Amino acid sequence: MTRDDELKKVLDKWETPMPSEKLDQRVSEAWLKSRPKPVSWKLWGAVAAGLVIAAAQFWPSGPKRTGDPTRVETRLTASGFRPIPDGAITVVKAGAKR
Amino acid sequence: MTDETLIQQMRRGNDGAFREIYGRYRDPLFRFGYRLTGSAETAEDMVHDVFVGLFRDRFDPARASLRTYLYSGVRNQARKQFRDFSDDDAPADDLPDGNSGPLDALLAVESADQVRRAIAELPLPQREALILFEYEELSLDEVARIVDSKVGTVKARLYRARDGLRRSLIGRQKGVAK
Repeated sequence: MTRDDELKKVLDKWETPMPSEKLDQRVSEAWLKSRPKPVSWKLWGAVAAGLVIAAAQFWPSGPKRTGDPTRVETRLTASGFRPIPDGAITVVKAGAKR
Repeated sequence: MTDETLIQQMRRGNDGAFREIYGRYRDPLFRFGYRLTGSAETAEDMVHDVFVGLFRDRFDPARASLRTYLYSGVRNQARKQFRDFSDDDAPADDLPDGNSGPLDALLAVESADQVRRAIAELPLPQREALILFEYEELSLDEVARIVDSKVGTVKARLYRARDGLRRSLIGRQKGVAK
């Protein structure tokens, strides 16, 4: 099937307007919103994230607290303790003379 | 640079590739949409939506060329438009009424208006085939892919469209001459 030149001349009398600048703006805005970030951006993003993590690791903080902070530990000292010799226990009633 | 190369670059966020593709297809898609619907506003909406679909990665190069994908997008939206507003099937009138210009201009508008009305009266499948083949000068194969039909079907639609158009234009011409 070939193009009909005679008909084409008649058809060409109907011209179309040009699209408006508003269309260009709308499509450009849509592109900017959905545009994938270029690889270089991703690379810089990864570098920045790495720096943040490294800084968090090495950032100086207060003395480290160990153990459970809610636990109360009681300590007894054994200095000066003398064990009682076997069989040396004497039960004394209250008020009785030794 | 081919469309395929540009699409790959666009998918990596290349602004230049986007501008190149948009520059290539903005006017043809707008013309197609405008001639299908008769409304510049509707045609712009359709072009916008087709590009948004492209940005959202709906285009699969394994299934169709970019040109086929974009034209099909406009065509599908036009069909939706006519289905949604089936009572208002006649395209909107965006052309000047021709009452305010000199005689030559008035005659020119009259002729353009006759053509526009004759095309608008064609059934949508014939109109699609005629616009893509005669105005956009696409091959029969491309038209068939865009309208998702066989080449033989497109030929038949074109034949009927041309026949209907001639009858309509001759009838209008006789009407004007009386």
